Amino acid sequence: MKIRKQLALLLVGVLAVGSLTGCGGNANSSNSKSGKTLTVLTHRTDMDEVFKKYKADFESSHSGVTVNFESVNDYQNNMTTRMGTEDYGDVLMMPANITKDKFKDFYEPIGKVDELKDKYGFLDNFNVDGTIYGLSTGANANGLVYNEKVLKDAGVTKLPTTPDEFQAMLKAIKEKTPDVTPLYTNYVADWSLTNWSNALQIEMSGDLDYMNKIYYNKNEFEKGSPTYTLLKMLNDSVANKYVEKDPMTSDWEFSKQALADGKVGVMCLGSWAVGQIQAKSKNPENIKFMGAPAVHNGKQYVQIASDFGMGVNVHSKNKDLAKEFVKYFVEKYPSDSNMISSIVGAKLPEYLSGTSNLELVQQKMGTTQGATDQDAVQKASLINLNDGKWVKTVIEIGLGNGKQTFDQYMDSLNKSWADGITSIGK
Amino acid sequence: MTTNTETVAVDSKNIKKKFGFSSLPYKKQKIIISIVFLIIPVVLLTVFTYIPAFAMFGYSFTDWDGIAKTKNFIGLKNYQTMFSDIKYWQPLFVSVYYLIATFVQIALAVIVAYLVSFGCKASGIFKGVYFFPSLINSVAISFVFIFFFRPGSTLDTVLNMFGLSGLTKLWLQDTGTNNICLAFVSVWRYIGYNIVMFSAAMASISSDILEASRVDGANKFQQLRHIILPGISTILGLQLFLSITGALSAFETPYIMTGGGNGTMTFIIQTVQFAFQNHRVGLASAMAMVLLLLCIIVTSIQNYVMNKKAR
Repeated sequence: MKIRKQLALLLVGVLAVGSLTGCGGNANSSNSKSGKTLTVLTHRTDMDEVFKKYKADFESSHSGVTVNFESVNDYQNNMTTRMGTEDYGDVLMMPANITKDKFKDFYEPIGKVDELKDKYGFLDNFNVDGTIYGLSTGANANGLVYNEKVLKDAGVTKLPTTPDEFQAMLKAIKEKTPDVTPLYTNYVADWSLTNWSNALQIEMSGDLDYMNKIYYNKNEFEKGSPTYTLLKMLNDSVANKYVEKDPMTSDWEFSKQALADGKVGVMCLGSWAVGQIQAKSKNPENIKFMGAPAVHNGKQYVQIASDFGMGVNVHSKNKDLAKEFVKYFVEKYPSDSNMISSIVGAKLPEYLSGTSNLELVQQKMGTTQGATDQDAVQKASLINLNDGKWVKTVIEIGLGNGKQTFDQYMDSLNKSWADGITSIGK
Repeated sequence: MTTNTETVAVDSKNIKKKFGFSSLPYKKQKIIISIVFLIIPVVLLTVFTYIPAFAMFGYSFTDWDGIAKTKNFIGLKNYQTMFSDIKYWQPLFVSVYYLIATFVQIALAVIVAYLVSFGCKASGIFKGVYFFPSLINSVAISFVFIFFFRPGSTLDTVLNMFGLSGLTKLWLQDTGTNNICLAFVSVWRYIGYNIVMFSAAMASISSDILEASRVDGANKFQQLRHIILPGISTILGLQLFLSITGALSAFETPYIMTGGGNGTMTFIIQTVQFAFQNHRVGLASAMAMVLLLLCIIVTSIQNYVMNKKAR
């Protein structure tokens, strides 16, 4: 009887192991095909048609190569999990939550900065001590997208250059055209709120090094700092009822159409949204772009920052081919997705080129140590600047919900932030 | 030639008889069949529940961020962090809404199941109607209810129709109503399942007993109180157990409808946020372990009370 039991156990074990190895085998089978296959992972679930063209184009110039595009929903979060394995495509968009200090574990170097800088721009984010781990797939300006007709109807002729003027602009829209929502928050979509939390500090402060210093500033959420001013702007807009009636049921697709139709005045978004909204509008020339409301030496700064970088999986079997594909991709993709091209010397998109008192600026490059600190501070403080969850509370306070005032909330954030900085010994 | 093949055929038949499954003794057959049937759930459970759970227990003592290739052992620091500040525990109070909703849900389900099971025409159709929401994906349901609660949408329209326009409000924005609305969606989602379970249990109660009680002059309520409820107590206990752990770990409805914002954050949403937005998988694992412990404690109390009652 005992032997039988042991036999039974053995059988269970063998079957279990069999089923596990079975799984492993399946995952590898696609790589062992004859001819080379490139799997490309992107966050663009909406660009299948364009990617089909890229695929045909690249395959025709490289015989025997098959390119497979795979678009991943909720890209950042899903990719972080997936990158725990070795199976994350050959070429991929580099998720922002994998910071510079970890690049060498995940990506294959594309080349040295000296070889690449003459042809490719926006390399700073992917530059680890002179080695480039990815190429920028285009760049965006950070700021606010607006409908010019709405502003004109409200009698606003000059773009706001201070937070007060910004409120005055929203007020004018609200009073002159009561049907129009002056500012749409897109409260439900977390990512839309990160434009308030991490995109406009440089434009507000005029300091190109600001985003590298923010991780050492123990008063980042106190009155007077750019982050405080930005969040206060959002909070005031909500408290003054210049936003949609019920932010809790806001809807991104709806908001794009509403801005296109002149039912919404302003949205805080990167310039990549301009193309998408223009496509929905009957008068696309009305959809314009402005920087954060601040002036430095008579100019309004508009910060340009790289969108996703595209890198090569360090575990890829066809690294050289993958690198070639990255170079091919970054030449085409920026213009197809309405972004500023990352190729040096390319033309600016129309909505940015015509404005005279705008100055396009780029952030100063951070150090690798800075990236490590930035990661550590955000983790220890439980405040992730790339995540909009905690910005939602700012809107909730504006609506009169919650038990704390705006300043109390900022104080609590500041305390967490300062504790985070203390934890790295600064 | 033909004889040869015939003998081979006969031989193989004999071999089959000798070594085939049916030639084994009954006990052996039983063992093999049980193993074959049990292996699939056991493997699934091990791979998708036990291994991750044990791994998570291990993570809870590290500072792993879910991305890095290295994990540093930091002892009980994650647990220490959790107990250092009340703010990590506040989401647990939101579970009270779901806990209350659980009791409402079970009570409603018993009543509806009772009505459907006894003396109701076309009870099959009603059961089907009530059960249907359980078949729909929670995500889809949550989206349906986002539209339902939107200002000027379904709920407001219905209220206006009945002349109750004074009651309309921003259902998901008002902190007084939003958790109630979310708990209501949960009830709507899971009640059909309860109803079907209860009516199945009620069907097993002998109609003779009910008939006898009726002859003795018991009214419908007395029947429900003294015959039906004791008759379904096992299922009732089980459903209560599932619903209470469900309330403690309420997740998908609030996660999709409000993202945990505006005071609707539940303990699990907070855990998920720490793990994937703040990249503190270690801390989140510790929180998950604490929640597991809480669920075990609550259900043991409930078991203890139920057993005491039964005796």
